[in-house]
Amino acid sequence: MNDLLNPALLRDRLQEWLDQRIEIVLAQLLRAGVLASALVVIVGAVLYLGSHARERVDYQTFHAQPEQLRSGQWVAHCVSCGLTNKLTQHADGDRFFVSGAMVVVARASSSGETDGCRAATLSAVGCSRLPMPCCITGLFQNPGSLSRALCCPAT
Amino acid sequence: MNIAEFTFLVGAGSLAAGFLGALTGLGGGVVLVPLLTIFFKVDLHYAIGASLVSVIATSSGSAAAYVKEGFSNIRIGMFLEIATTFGALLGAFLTAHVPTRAIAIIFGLMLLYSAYVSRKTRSRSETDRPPDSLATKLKMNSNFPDTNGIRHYNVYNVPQGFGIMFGAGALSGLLGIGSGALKVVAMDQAMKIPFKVSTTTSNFMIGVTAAASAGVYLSRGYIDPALAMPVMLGVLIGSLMGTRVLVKTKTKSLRLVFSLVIVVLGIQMLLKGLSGSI
Repeated sequence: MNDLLNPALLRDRLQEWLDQRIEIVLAQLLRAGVLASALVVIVGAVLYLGSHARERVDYQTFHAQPEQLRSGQWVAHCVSCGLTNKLTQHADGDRFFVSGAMVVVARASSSGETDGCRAATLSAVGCSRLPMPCCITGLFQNPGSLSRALCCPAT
Repeated sequence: MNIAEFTFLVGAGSLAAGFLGALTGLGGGVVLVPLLTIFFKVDLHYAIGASLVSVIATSSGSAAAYVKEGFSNIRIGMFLEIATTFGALLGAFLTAHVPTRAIAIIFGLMLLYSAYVSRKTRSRSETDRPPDSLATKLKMNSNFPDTNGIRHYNVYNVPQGFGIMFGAGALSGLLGIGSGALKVVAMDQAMKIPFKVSTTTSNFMIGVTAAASAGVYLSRGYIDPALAMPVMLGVLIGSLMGTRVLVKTKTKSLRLVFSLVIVVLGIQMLLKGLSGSI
């Protein structure tokens, strides 16, 4: 009871309670983010291996990833414009999807650092915004040239 | 080797790295890059990019538990992340300009140093000294649940810790690792934070540091999704398993074995860097 009458002590208790709440919320967001990101990668992995499993692999020499796979903006832009059909026609199938997931993970996380938010937290938010079923069914049907799949041309 | 075999083997190797990394507290990233470059003959740039993605996932996964249990000091973590993030951006920028063999040599030295740190005696936190004014102003002094109940601790030498963190961030960005060993040194040795709080706060921070440099790596095309996929999933699953097993296992002998593995990998990386065969 005395604690409640002391403003300084009350302020400290309130601060402590707020800190604890933030920690709990942060932990839940982190866990949800990691799960969501892992799920996206697993779906991408299944689809990628389903069509490329027998191809030979070579990582000995470095070839930078295509320009279009290096930016999160075009992926987000395409999806927000509802251009899944366009992507279906042009995107480089499964690699696009896995790339998209990675792009969202990395971009969302790096852009959120100023807020002190964590990578996976934001990636989960990013992932949950994607219309996944459309992407999954649409992007893996017709592999084509990714270079032609630049986002949101005047449609 | 075809893609299915390669993905399976890399995934299994990453799982083992994540598992042992979590058990020993050194993280999976530190053995992943040598594993990929030495055993799977993957180009160093690809290996660093894939490792960074896995570090983000692992850090976030394990940090969730530590943050919830009240071990990590988020205030300290957020403050020091300013230094590590700028350092990481510098490190990631340097990757394109530093020769591959030089990166391999630095990596080898970092591995040897990590092994040394893992065997070093931990410093005791100081509670009898008066609190540091800057740390008090930044409200860094806190407490954590110990075996004997809630334990209070004070934080010291904030500018010194901040400086070391910048270096840790730069190494993380350059080498694609969490550089947890250096972060723990900054907090445990320099800032006199209890070891448990140092390691868990470091765990919370390495994902943020890696995320900062991952953006730069991504924009340069260093992150290959097909390689990052098994690495990220393997390390994530392995580290989650390791964290669960950790409470029931005596890790002293395991730490010794893992340290020896790191020493061997470090020497191999050094030799490859010096001979230019990487």
